[in-house]
Amino acid sequence: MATAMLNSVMDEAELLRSILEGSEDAFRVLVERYQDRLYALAHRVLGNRLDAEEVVQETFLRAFRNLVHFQAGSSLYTWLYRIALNAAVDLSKRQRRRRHVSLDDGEAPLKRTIAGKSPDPSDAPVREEIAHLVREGVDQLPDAYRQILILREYSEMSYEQLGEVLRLPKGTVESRLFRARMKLKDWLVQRLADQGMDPDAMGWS
Amino acid sequence: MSIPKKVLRLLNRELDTELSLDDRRELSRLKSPELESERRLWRTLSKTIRDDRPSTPIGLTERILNRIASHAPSDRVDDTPGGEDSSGGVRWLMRSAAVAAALLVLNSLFYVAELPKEAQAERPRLKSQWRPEEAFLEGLKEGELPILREARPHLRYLRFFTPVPDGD
Repeated sequence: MATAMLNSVMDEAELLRSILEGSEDAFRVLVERYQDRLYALAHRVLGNRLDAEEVVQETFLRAFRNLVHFQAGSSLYTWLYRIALNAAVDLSKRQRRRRHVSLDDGEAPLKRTIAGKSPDPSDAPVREEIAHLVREGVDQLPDAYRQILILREYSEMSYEQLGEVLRLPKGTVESRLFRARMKLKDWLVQRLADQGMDPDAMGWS
Repeated sequence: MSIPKKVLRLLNRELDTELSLDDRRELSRLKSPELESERRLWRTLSKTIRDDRPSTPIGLTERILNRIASHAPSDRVDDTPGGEDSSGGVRWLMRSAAVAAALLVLNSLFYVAELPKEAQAERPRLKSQWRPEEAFLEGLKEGELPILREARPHLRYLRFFTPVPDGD
Protein backbone atom coordinates (compact mmCIF):
# COMPACT_ATOMS: atom_id res chain seq x y z
CA MET A 1 0.00 0.00 0.00
CA ALA A 2 1.30 3.47 -0.94
CA THR A 3 0.66 5.01 2.47
CA ALA A 4 2.51 2.18 4.21
CA MET A 5 5.54 2.93 2.06
CA LEU A 6 5.23 6.66 2.69
CA ASN A 7 4.96 5.98 6.40
CA SER A 8 8.26 4.21 6.49
CA VAL A 9 10.22 6.73 4.48
CA MET A 10 8.84 10.16 5.32
CA ASP A 11 10.35 12.19 8.10
CA GLU A 12 8.35 14.83 9.95
CA ALA A 13 9.42 17.75 7.77
CA GLU A 14 8.55 15.95 4.53
CA LEU A 15 5.27 14.79 5.98
CA LEU A 16 4.34 18.29 7.03
CA ARG A 17 5.26 19.71 3.64
CA SER A 18 3.16 17.11 1.82
CA ILE A 19 0.17 17.70 4.07
CA LEU A 20 0.37 21.45 3.54
CA GLU A 21 0.51 20.80 -0.20
CA GLY A 22 -2.81 19.01 0.20
CA SER A 23 -1.77 15.37 0.09
CA GLU A 24 -4.47 13.21 1.65
CA ASP A 25 -2.11 10.24 1.70
CA ALA A 26 0.34 12.23 3.79
CA PHE A 27 -2.34 13.11 6.32
CA ARG A 28 -3.30 9.45 6.51
CA VAL A 29 0.34 8.64 7.23
CA LEU A 30 0.31 11.18 10.06
CA VAL A 31 -2.82 9.59 11.53
CA GLU A 32 -1.48 6.06 11.20
CA ARG A 33 1.85 7.03 12.68
CA TYR A 34 0.53 8.62 15.85
CA GLN A 35 -3.01 7.44 16.52
CA ASP A 36 -2.05 4.39 18.61
CA ARG A 37 0.10 6.36 21.01
CA LEU A 38 -2.39 9.20 21.27
CA TYR A 39 -5.25 6.78 21.82
CA ALA A 40 -3.38 4.93 24.57
CA LEU A 41 -2.55 8.20 26.28
CA ALA A 42 -6.14 9.49 26.07
CA HIS A 43 -7.51 6.16 27.25
CA ARG A 44 -5.37 6.16 30.36
CA VAL A 45 -6.14 9.77 31.15
CA LEU A 46 -9.89 9.36 30.63
CA GLY A 47 -10.47 5.75 31.53
CA ASN A 48 -12.80 4.74 28.72
CA ARG A 49 -12.77 3.92 25.03
CA LEU A 50 -15.45 6.33 23.81
CA ASP A 51 -13.92 9.42 25.36
CA ALA A 52 -10.45 8.37 24.23
CA GLU A 53 -11.63 7.96 20.65
CA GLU A 54 -13.35 11.33 20.75
CA VAL A 55 -10.13 12.95 21.97
CA VAL A 56 -8.03 11.35 19.23
CA GLN A 57 -10.47 12.46 16.54
CA GLU A 58 -10.55 15.95 18.01
CA THR A 59 -6.74 16.03 18.17
CA PHE A 60 -6.32 15.29 14.48
CA LEU A 61 -9.11 17.69 13.56
CA ARG A 62 -7.44 20.49 15.54
CA ALA A 63 -4.08 19.56 14.06
CA PHE A 64 -5.56 19.65 10.57
CA ARG A 65 -7.07 23.08 11.16
CA ASN A 66 -3.95 24.55 12.73
CA LEU A 67 -1.21 22.90 10.73
CA VAL A 68 -0.58 26.09 8.77
CA HIS A 69 0.29 27.82 12.05
CA PHE A 70 2.61 25.04 13.14
CA GLN A 71 6.15 26.32 13.57
CA ALA A 72 8.56 24.31 11.52
CA GLY A 73 11.23 24.43 14.24
CA SER A 74 9.12 22.50 16.73
CA SER A 75 8.40 18.82 16.80
CA LEU A 76 5.17 17.66 15.21
CA TYR A 77 5.21 14.68 17.53
CA THR A 78 5.26 16.70 20.77
CA TRP A 79 2.79 19.21 19.30
CA LEU A 80 0.27 16.43 18.67
CA TYR A 81 0.82 15.05 22.15
CA ARG A 82 0.19 18.45 23.65
CA ILE A 83 -3.08 18.86 21.75
CA ALA A 84 -4.19 15.36 22.77
CA LEU A 85 -3.25 15.80 26.40
CA ASN A 86 -4.98 19.17 26.65
CA ALA A 87 -8.10 17.77 24.97
CA ALA A 88 -8.11 14.77 27.29
CA VAL A 89 -7.61 16.88 30.39
CA ASP A 90 -10.37 19.29 29.32
CA LEU A 91 -12.77 16.44 28.69
CA SER A 92 -11.84 14.76 31.92
CA LYS A 93 -12.58 17.96 33.82
CA ARG A 94 -15.96 18.27 32.10
CA GLN A 95 -16.96 14.70 32.65
CA ARG A 96 -15.71 13.48 35.97
CA ARG A 97 -15.75 9.84 35.25
CA ARG A 98 -18.01 7.59 37.25
CA ARG A 99 -15.81 4.65 37.62
CA HIS A 100 -14.99 2.49 40.49
CA VAL A 101 -12.79 -0.56 40.30
CA SER A 102 -12.38 -2.70 43.31
CA LEU A 103 -9.84 -5.37 43.87
CA ASP A 104 -12.24 -7.05 46.26
CA ASP A 105 -14.49 -8.25 43.46
CA GLY A 106 -14.23 -11.97 43.54
CA GLU A 107 -11.19 -13.81 44.66
CA ALA A 108 -8.18 -12.40 42.91
CA PRO A 109 -5.57 -14.83 41.54
CA LEU A 110 -2.92 -13.07 43.58
CA LYS A 111 -4.88 -13.69 46.78
CA ARG A 112 -5.57 -17.27 45.86
CA THR A 113 -1.96 -17.93 45.04
CA ILE A 114 -0.56 -16.19 48.03
CA ALA A 115 -2.83 -18.09 50.38
CA GLY A 116 -1.28 -21.34 49.23
CA LYS A 117 2.31 -20.49 48.44
CA SER A 118 4.50 -17.68 47.24
CA PRO A 119 3.18 -16.17 44.02
CA ASP A 120 5.17 -16.70 40.90
CA PRO A 121 5.26 -13.44 38.95
CA SER A 122 5.82 -15.38 35.74
CA ASP A 123 2.47 -17.14 36.22
CA ALA A 124 -0.07 -15.64 33.75
CA PRO A 125 -2.98 -15.04 36.18
CA VAL A 126 -0.59 -13.53 38.71
CA ARG A 127 0.89 -11.33 36.02
CA GLU A 128 -2.61 -10.23 35.08
CA GLU A 129 -3.36 -9.48 38.70
CA ILE A 130 -0.18 -7.45 39.07
CA ALA A 131 -1.14 -5.51 35.95
CA HIS A 132 -4.56 -4.86 37.45
CA LEU A 133 -3.02 -3.66 40.69
CA VAL A 134 -0.54 -1.39 38.92
CA ARG A 135 -3.34 0.02 36.74
CA GLU A 136 -5.30 0.83 39.85
CA GLY A 137 -2.22 2.35 41.41
CA VAL A 138 -1.62 4.57 38.37
CA ASP A 139 -5.28 5.60 38.25
CA GLN A 140 -5.29 6.77 41.84
CA LEU A 141 -2.28 9.04 41.34
CA PRO A 142 -2.97 12.78 41.28
CA ASP A 143 -3.55 14.00 37.68
CA ALA A 144 -0.15 15.65 37.26
CA TYR A 145 1.71 12.49 38.32
CA ARG A 146 -0.52 10.16 36.32
CA GLN A 147 -0.14 12.20 33.14
CA ILE A 148 3.62 12.45 33.24
CA LEU A 149 4.06 8.77 34.08
CA ILE A 150 1.77 7.63 31.28
CA LEU A 151 3.37 10.03 28.82
CA ARG A 152 6.81 8.74 29.66
CA GLU A 153 5.94 5.03 29.63
CA TYR A 154 3.78 5.09 26.50
CA SER A 155 5.73 7.54 24.40
CA GLU A 156 9.25 7.02 25.71
CA MET A 157 9.89 10.73 25.33
CA SER A 158 13.01 12.31 26.71
CA TYR A 159 12.80 14.75 29.62
CA GLU A 160 13.21 17.56 27.15
CA GLN A 161 10.32 16.39 24.97
CA LEU A 162 8.15 15.82 28.02
CA GLY A 163 8.96 19.36 29.06
CA GLU A 164 7.78 20.61 25.67
CA VAL A 165 4.48 18.77 25.91
CA LEU A 166 3.78 19.70 29.50
CA ARG A 167 5.43 23.12 29.31
CA LEU A 168 7.67 22.35 32.25
CA PRO A 169 11.39 22.84 32.82
CA LYS A 170 13.51 19.72 32.45
CA GLY A 171 14.31 19.62 36.18
CA THR A 172 10.63 19.67 37.08
CA VAL A 173 9.94 16.86 34.62
CA GLU A 174 12.56 14.71 36.29
CA SER A 175 11.43 15.36 39.84
CA ARG A 176 7.75 14.96 38.99
CA LEU A 177 8.43 11.62 37.35
CA PHE A 178 10.45 10.56 40.36
CA ARG A 179 7.67 11.52 42.77
CA ALA A 180 5.08 9.78 40.60
CA ARG A 181 7.05 6.54 40.74
CA MET A 182 7.67 6.82 44.46
CA LYS A 183 3.99 7.44 45.12
CA LEU A 184 3.03 4.49 42.96
CA LYS A 185 5.50 2.24 44.70
CA ASP A 186 4.39 3.34 48.18
CA TRP A 187 0.76 2.79 47.24
CA LEU A 188 1.46 -0.70 45.92
CA VAL A 189 3.49 -1.76 48.92
CA GLN A 190 0.76 -0.47 51.23
CA ARG A 191 -1.93 -2.18 49.18
CA LEU A 192 -0.15 -5.51 49.33
CA ALA A 193 0.45 -5.11 53.06
CA ASP A 194 -3.27 -4.31 53.61
CA GLN A 195 -4.11 -7.60 51.97
CA GLY A 196 -1.71 -9.44 54.17
CA MET A 197 0.80 -9.99 51.38
CA ASP A 198 4.48 -9.56 51.60
CA PRO A 199 5.84 -7.38 48.77
CA ASP A 200 9.08 -9.38 49.04
CA ALA A 201 7.20 -12.42 47.78
CA MET A 202 6.55 -10.57 44.53
CA GLY A 203 10.24 -10.49 43.89
CA TRP A 204 10.08 -6.71 43.97
CA SER A 205 12.06 -5.88 47.02
CA MET B 1 18.38 -0.83 54.81
CA SER B 2 16.67 2.02 53.02
CA ILE B 3 18.17 3.39 49.85
CA PRO B 4 19.13 7.09 49.93
CA LYS B 5 16.89 9.38 47.90
CA LYS B 6 19.86 10.50 45.84
CA VAL B 7 20.41 6.93 44.66
CA LEU B 8 16.71 6.45 43.97
CA ARG B 9 16.88 9.51 41.76
CA LEU B 10 19.72 7.87 39.86
CA LEU B 11 17.53 4.82 39.32
CA ASN B 12 14.80 7.10 38.05
CA ARG B 13 17.17 8.60 35.51
CA GLU B 14 18.51 5.20 34.58
CA LEU B 15 15.00 3.98 33.82
CA ASP B 16 14.43 6.98 31.60
CA THR B 17 17.80 6.57 29.86
CA GLU B 18 18.80 10.04 31.02
CA LEU B 19 21.94 9.13 32.93
CA SER B 20 24.89 11.45 32.55
CA LEU B 21 28.42 10.08 32.46
CA ASP B 22 28.93 11.01 36.13
CA ASP B 23 25.63 9.36 37.09
CA ARG B 24 26.72 6.20 35.34
CA ARG B 25 30.03 6.14 37.18
CA GLU B 26 28.32 6.68 40.51
CA LEU B 27 25.76 3.96 39.91
CA SER B 28 28.39 1.43 38.96
CA ARG B 29 30.12 2.09 42.30
CA LEU B 30 26.94 1.43 44.24
CA LYS B 31 26.30 -2.24 43.63
CA SER B 32 24.29 -3.86 46.42
CA PRO B 33 21.49 -6.44 46.69
CA GLU B 34 19.09 -3.72 47.92
CA LEU B 35 19.84 -1.55 44.96
CA GLU B 36 19.41 -4.46 42.58
CA SER B 37 16.06 -5.31 44.13
CA GLU B 38 14.89 -1.71 43.90
CA ARG B 39 16.01 -1.53 40.30
CA ARG B 40 14.02 -4.70 39.56
CA LEU B 41 10.92 -3.20 41.15
CA TRP B 42 11.16 0.00 39.11
CA ARG B 43 11.68 -1.96 35.91
CA THR B 44 8.78 -4.27 36.67
CA LEU B 45 6.48 -1.33 37.28
CA SER B 46 7.61 0.40 34.11
CA LYS B 47 7.18 -2.72 32.01
CA THR B 48 3.81 -3.50 33.54
CA ILE B 49 2.50 -0.03 32.68
CA ARG B 50 3.82 -0.29 29.12
CA ASP B 51 2.42 -3.76 28.54
CA ASP B 52 -0.95 -2.65 29.82
CA ARG B 53 -1.30 -0.18 26.98
CA PRO B 54 -4.86 -0.15 25.57
CA SER B 55 -5.11 -1.24 21.96
CA THR B 56 -6.51 1.08 19.31
CA PRO B 57 -10.06 0.32 18.16
CA ILE B 58 -10.40 -1.10 14.66
CA GLY B 59 -11.34 1.46 12.02
CA LEU B 60 -10.22 4.51 13.98
CA THR B 61 -8.11 5.79 11.07
CA GLU B 62 -11.11 5.88 8.75
CA ARG B 63 -13.30 7.55 11.34
CA ILE B 64 -10.68 10.24 11.90
CA LEU B 65 -10.26 10.85 8.17
CA ASN B 66 -14.02 10.92 7.59
CA ARG B 67 -14.47 13.40 10.36
CA ILE B 68 -11.81 15.64 8.92
CA ALA B 69 -13.27 15.30 5.44
CA SER B 70 -16.65 16.44 6.66
CA HIS B 71 -15.28 18.89 9.25
CA ALA B 72 -18.38 17.97 11.14
CA PRO B 73 -18.79 17.18 14.78
CA SER B 74 -18.76 13.49 15.55
CA ASP B 75 -22.10 11.74 15.85
CA ARG B 76 -20.91 10.05 18.99
CA VAL B 77 -23.40 10.25 21.82
CA ASP B 78 -22.42 9.32 25.34
CA ASP B 79 -24.77 6.59 26.41
CA THR B 80 -23.58 6.43 29.99
CA PRO B 81 -26.26 7.38 32.52
CA GLY B 82 -26.20 11.11 33.08
CA GLY B 83 -23.50 11.49 30.44
CA GLU B 84 -23.48 14.40 28.11
CA ASP B 85 -22.78 14.52 24.42
CA SER B 86 -19.21 15.73 24.26
CA SER B 87 -19.65 16.93 20.68
CA GLY B 88 -22.25 19.44 21.94
CA GLY B 89 -19.58 22.10 22.28
CA VAL B 90 -18.51 21.68 18.67
CA ARG B 91 -22.13 21.82 17.51
CA TRP B 92 -22.72 24.94 19.55
CA LEU B 93 -19.67 26.53 17.99
CA MET B 94 -20.83 25.67 14.49
CA ARG B 95 -24.31 27.04 15.20
CA SER B 96 -22.79 30.22 16.64
CA ALA B 97 -20.54 30.58 13.62
CA ALA B 98 -23.55 30.21 11.30
CA VAL B 99 -25.53 32.83 13.25
CA ALA B 100 -22.54 35.19 13.29
CA ALA B 101 -22.09 34.81 9.53
CA ALA B 102 -25.78 35.53 8.92
CA LEU B 103 -25.58 38.64 11.13
CA LEU B 104 -22.52 39.86 9.28
CA VAL B 105 -24.28 39.55 5.93
CA LEU B 106 -27.34 41.37 7.26
CA ASN B 107 -25.18 44.04 8.85
CA SER B 108 -23.22 44.70 5.69
CA LEU B 109 -26.44 45.00 3.66
CA PHE B 110 -27.79 47.41 6.21
CA TYR B 111 -24.50 49.27 6.30
CA VAL B 112 -24.50 49.85 2.55
CA ALA B 113 -28.13 50.93 2.57
CA GLU B 114 -27.43 53.42 5.37
CA LEU B 115 -24.41 55.04 3.76
CA PRO B 116 -24.86 58.53 2.42
CA LYS B 117 -24.85 58.68 -1.38
CA GLU B 118 -21.44 60.39 -1.59
CA ALA B 119 -19.96 57.75 0.67
CA GLN B 120 -21.38 54.98 -1.47
CA ALA B 121 -19.85 56.60 -4.51
CA GLU B 122 -16.54 56.87 -2.68
CA ARG B 123 -16.59 53.26 -1.57
CA PRO B 124 -14.77 51.71 -4.54
CA ARG B 125 -11.98 54.25 -4.16
CA LEU B 126 -11.63 53.60 -0.44
CA LYS B 127 -11.70 49.90 -1.08
CA SER B 128 -8.86 50.15 -3.55
CA GLN B 129 -6.78 51.97 -0.94
CA TRP B 130 -7.53 49.46 1.75
CA ARG B 131 -4.45 48.05 3.40
CA PRO B 132 -4.30 44.57 4.74
CA GLU B 133 -4.65 44.49 8.51
CA GLU B 134 -1.03 43.43 9.04
CA ALA B 135 0.32 46.33 6.99
CA PHE B 136 -1.95 48.72 8.83
CA LEU B 137 -0.78 47.51 12.23
CA GLU B 138 2.83 47.48 11.09
CA GLY B 139 2.45 51.13 10.06
CA LEU B 140 1.01 51.97 13.45
CA LYS B 141 3.84 50.24 15.25
CA GLU B 142 6.38 52.20 13.29
CA GLY B 143 4.68 55.43 14.25
CA GLU B 144 3.25 56.06 10.84
CA LEU B 145 0.65 58.54 12.03
CA PRO B 146 -0.77 59.60 8.68
CA ILE B 147 -2.23 56.11 8.53
CA LEU B 148 -4.69 57.19 11.20
CA ARG B 149 -5.85 60.07 9.05
CA GLU B 150 -6.17 57.61 6.22
CA ALA B 151 -8.39 55.45 8.36
CA ARG B 152 -10.73 58.21 9.43
CA PRO B 153 -13.05 58.26 6.44
CA HIS B 154 -13.56 54.53 6.92
CA LEU B 155 -14.26 54.89 10.60
CA ARG B 156 -16.88 57.57 10.01
CA TYR B 157 -19.05 55.17 8.10
CA LEU B 158 -18.95 52.40 10.62
CA ARG B 159 -22.27 52.42 12.40
CA PHE B 160 -21.07 51.46 15.84
CA PHE B 161 -18.14 53.81 16.07
CA THR B 162 -18.38 57.31 17.48
CA PRO B 163 -17.68 59.68 14.59
CA VAL B 164 -14.16 61.08 14.71
CA PRO B 165 -14.31 64.86 15.27
CA ASP B 166 -13.02 66.94 12.37
CA GLY B 167 -9.77 68.79 12.70
CA ASP B 168 -6.62 67.91 14.65
